[in-house]
Amino acid sequence: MKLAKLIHPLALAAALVAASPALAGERIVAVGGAVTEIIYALGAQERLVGVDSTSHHPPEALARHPDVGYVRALSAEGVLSLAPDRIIAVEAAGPPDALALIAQAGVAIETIPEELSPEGVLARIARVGSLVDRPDAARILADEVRRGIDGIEARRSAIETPVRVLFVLSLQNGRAMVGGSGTSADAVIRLAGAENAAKGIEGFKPITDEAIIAAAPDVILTINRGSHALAPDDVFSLPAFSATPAAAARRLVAMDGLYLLGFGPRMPQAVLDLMDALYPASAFSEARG
Amino acid sequence: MSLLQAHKASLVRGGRALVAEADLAIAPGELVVIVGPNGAGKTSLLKLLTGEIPASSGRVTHDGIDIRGWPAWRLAARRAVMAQAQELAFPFSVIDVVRIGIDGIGRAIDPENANALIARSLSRADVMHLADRDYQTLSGGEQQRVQFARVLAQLAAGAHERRAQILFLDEPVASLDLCHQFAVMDTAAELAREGTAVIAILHDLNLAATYADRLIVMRGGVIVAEGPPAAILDEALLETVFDVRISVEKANGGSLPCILPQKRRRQPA
Amino acid sequence: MSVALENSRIFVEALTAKRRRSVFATTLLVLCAAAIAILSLKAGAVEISAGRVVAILLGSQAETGRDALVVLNVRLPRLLLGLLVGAALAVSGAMMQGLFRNPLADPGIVGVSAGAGLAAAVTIVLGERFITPVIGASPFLLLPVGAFLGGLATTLALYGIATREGRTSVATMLLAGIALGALAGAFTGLLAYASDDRQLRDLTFWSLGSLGGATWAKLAVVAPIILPILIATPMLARGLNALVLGEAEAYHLGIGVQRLKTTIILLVAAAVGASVAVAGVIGFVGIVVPHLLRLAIGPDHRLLLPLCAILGGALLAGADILARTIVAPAELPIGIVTAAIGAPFFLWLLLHRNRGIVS
Repeated sequence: MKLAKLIHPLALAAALVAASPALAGERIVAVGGAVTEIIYALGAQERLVGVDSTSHHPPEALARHPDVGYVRALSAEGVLSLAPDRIIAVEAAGPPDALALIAQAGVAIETIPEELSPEGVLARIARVGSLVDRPDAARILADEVRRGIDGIEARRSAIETPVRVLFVLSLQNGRAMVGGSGTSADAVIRLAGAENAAKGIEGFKPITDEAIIAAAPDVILTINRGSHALAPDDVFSLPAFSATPAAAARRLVAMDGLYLLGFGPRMPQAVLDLMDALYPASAFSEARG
Repeated sequence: MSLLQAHKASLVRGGRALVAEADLAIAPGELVVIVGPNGAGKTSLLKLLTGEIPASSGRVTHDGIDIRGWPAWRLAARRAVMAQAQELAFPFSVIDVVRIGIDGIGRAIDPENANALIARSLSRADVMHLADRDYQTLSGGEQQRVQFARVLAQLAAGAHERRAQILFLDEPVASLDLCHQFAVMDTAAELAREGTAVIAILHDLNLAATYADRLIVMRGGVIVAEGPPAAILDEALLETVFDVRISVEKANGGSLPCILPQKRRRQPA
Repeated sequence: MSVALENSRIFVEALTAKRRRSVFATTLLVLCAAAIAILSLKAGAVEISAGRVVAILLGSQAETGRDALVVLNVRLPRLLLGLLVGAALAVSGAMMQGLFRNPLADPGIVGVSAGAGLAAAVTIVLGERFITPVIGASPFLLLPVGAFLGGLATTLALYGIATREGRTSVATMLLAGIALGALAGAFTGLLAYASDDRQLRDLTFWSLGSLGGATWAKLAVVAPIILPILIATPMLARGLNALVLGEAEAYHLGIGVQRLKTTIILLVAAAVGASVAVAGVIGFVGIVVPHLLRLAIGPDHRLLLPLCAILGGALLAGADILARTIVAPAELPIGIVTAAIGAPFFLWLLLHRNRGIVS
């Protein structure tokens, strides 16, 4: 398949330029946004021969590499057509039948555990680093991430009154889907020294209007999805949200989904950004309540 | 022993007796016509006799054996039933509709003979020229004749199984022109002469009187009169059963009752 | 006499025309299915030359490794599963339409899809919490079993509701089917409500159907259910033909109507249940294929049922080629492909029907 393309002289030249570093290592398919991100952060992207459809960062990942489909709906033949040596995948990857076939073809499948904590991020970096044969780069990246995490902790200890944050995943027909305990959103909110206003809810769930009022969030946190994001007007014009403290102050924070919730190498920065948004400089000295 | 017998057969639906304790015996070669006003229970009686609906009480026997003991395929070789106007769900051709008539019992018939049998039935019902037509595109009368061809084919296919057969016809001429009314009834009479018992529901009393060996008159689920047309079809019966005051003439040299609408008398106020 | 001669000519010609049409349609469909089967083994994200495909199929020792795996363990089971599932759906559709005397009856009408969908939702949403600890494996492995049993259970419940004094009312079954479908839909909705983002995506993908999970193991489970049914159905053709005249008429014609109804319902439940279990919900095959064939060769079930099996299988295998090549190396859910092709085609058929091509 590759040979056919090389027949054309121009294609040959282009292929040599693009492909030469790849000769050094294995061909890798990354499944899961965080995995792709780490591989790029380690500078091992030349080994990638395919990424899944959730690999939005960096943007060139999906632009430069074939898309093998949604992380939970991979195609065995599709992945095999890229002739990978190794699949590095998040825990959620599937379906199991496709993975079994891929493994049967002699492709190593490495699963990266999903742990929504700073330690989890460090462990992921170390693991991916050893898999792509970049342990040194991984160490440097991990140190950087650890410094970021230390910075977060220092800043968090200075917070006197945590704000109450409600994470809204989506609004469908005016019904809000919010992030309860055990979700990546909950983990990020707590890391940023805030309190998850969605108490008593497990996972991403739709919530009733009354529960939103009872949650009394100071800030609504949401994610940007490509070009379209929730605007403050969309949210605060809804009766349930209009009665919250967040509406009074018109505090809506929207961040990129993968950046905020991916628990990749950009996690410390994402949490710091969130803290900036939740605790503007003035709010630190000002006594709240 | 009679071919078909009903012993105090009743059909009760929703607490109402559609047929009440009907007693009846049908012999081979008889042409029996059931008449009666709308809602008299004619079709219900037919359904009891064909085995389509089991009797609520009493019983119906074929050859002395309760009809419930007859498997469908054996009954199919013994009797054919032509119901009132029939819609088809799918666009079958006329040939196919008639072929369906023999498919249930005609497994033993080889394709060559089956085709010959279908062709004979089509001709006999005068629908051969429609053979390749889609049944759904035919007129009501044409459809009725195709159905007649179908029951003729079924009888012919079942003939090798058992000699004495029964043909049930529920208003077989309702949509037919005068010529085909006679044609269908002539064929039925011919079958009767060959030994087949024919039981038909008719609304036209003149036609009934012309063809019937025996009339069965129903009203309110009850058989109110039974006998040769000449003996029972008179003005008193018409008034009690049909609520019509009309004089009955005699045709055919005085042997055949004949009813002319012009002879209706005004109801007393 | 000349009129009689003319008439018998019509009869003979009608018979010959029908026979010629059957032979032509059968030959065409078999060739078409064979072409799709060959294309299906050749086409895919991995480029393998036709010569190598043949060599691999012939079991050449030299052909091992990735390409052999792709042909033998990915494409071949997928092709066979597509043929089986497509055939099962189309034949079930034709039987349901015959039973309900309605060309728009879907195999899903007996509640199989609704029940299977509910069971699938239970497996996906509650599986990790309640099933995995028991079997110590991914709940995905139980999905086919759950879907099959769920579909069968719903059908049996429906059948029980519609059967009084040994007679099954087809109309009651239709109405009860709508009610049970709504009930199963409500529970499925409840589970969707309780599911997280990922489970919701799984449910969506499952409900759109895919042959992506085809393995020899699944084939070994499904083939013993579907193949005997496909072989047995032509025996029901006479009964289904008679049923077109009505239930009472079918009885008068010597058909054991109640047994026929029971048989059809159970066969359809098993065939569709098995299909849904391994390939998810795939729409339109069950309606479009029988309808198209009725237009082409007429409604005679003796020919309709076997040709439905061939065309249904070919159509699904063909749709699968599209599903796995259009966005390669990713793939589309096959339900999207069948609906995207089936729906416009169906509308086209309806428009032509209105112009009088068919009744």
